[in-house]
Amino acid sequence: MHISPTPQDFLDQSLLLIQARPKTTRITTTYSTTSPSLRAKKTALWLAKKGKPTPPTTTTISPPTPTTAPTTPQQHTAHLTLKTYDPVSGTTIQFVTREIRDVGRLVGVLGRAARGMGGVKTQPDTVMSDAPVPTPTPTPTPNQAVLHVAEADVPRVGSPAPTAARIGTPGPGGEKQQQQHQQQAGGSGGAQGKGKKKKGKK
Amino acid sequence: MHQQLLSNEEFFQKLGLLFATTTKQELGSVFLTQKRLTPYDQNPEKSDTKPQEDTLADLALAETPGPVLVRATNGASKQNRDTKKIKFSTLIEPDAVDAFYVRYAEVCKSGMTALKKKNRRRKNKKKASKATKTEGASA
Repeated sequence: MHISPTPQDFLDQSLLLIQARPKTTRITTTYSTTSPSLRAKKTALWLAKKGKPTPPTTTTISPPTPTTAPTTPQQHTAHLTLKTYDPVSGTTIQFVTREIRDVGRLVGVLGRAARGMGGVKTQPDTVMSDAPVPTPTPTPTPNQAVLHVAEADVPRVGSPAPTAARIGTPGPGGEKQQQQHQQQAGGSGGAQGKGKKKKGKK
Repeated sequence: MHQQLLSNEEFFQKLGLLFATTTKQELGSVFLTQKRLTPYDQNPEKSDTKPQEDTLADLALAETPGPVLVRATNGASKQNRDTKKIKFSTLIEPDAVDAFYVRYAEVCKSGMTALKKKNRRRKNKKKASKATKTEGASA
């Protein structure tokens, strides 16, 4: 059995299993709760089994406990287990959580898995569909090749500036300005540092 | 016992109730299972004898759209039936998968109230550390 550390890992592994056996793979989500009274009973039983004395309910009040005790009222505890299981191969993938913040993400995972189970194709990425299709350029004849070279020399209007132009735009003056900026920034930082030091001396 | 096949909306209503009743109980569980709906195989042993054909059929199935079955139960067994067994299910059509899971997430989030809330432990830790700091300063 594979126990996934993250919901993402659970999704990846489950999708692989669903892909391999879409007919038989099933995902079971178990949400189980325990009341505080039952928890107390169970711990008492466990301690009795171990031969340890049960902790006394009324203890001498130590300073940190009164601050923490009222903030944690006795509530039901619960855990959520997701299991992907294929009965034919016996493969199991499991993920366990106790936090509610994982629920939204996990239901998303279930939805993604259901798409795999139902054979619903995932939508293709919009970026790929919008991307321009590269037109196949025919192999240039010698004359055309000369023409291509001539075109290449002329800078295109719509195309982005070539790398040489990009480097050239700030110029040597621009570099100097940048350096000055850096120096100024460093100076201000130093002044603040001095101020802090003075504070420290006081 | 025949399980009830409900519409999606009825399923969510019942699931909300099931979560509410389970959280009130001393010890309770909700089991939710999802799988692809396939016709009932009367002779599973027969098909097991031809594993190669089966896998190929499975792979072809992955490409064809079909409904997904979602079952919900409280898992009350026959031996220890203090509570009545609740069992119902629904079908998700391939074109309604996204809409179903949006609603499903809402129902689960509102139903699974016994799970740990956000940052509860972290807040407590902060408070505890503050308390110790102030004590240290006063001492």
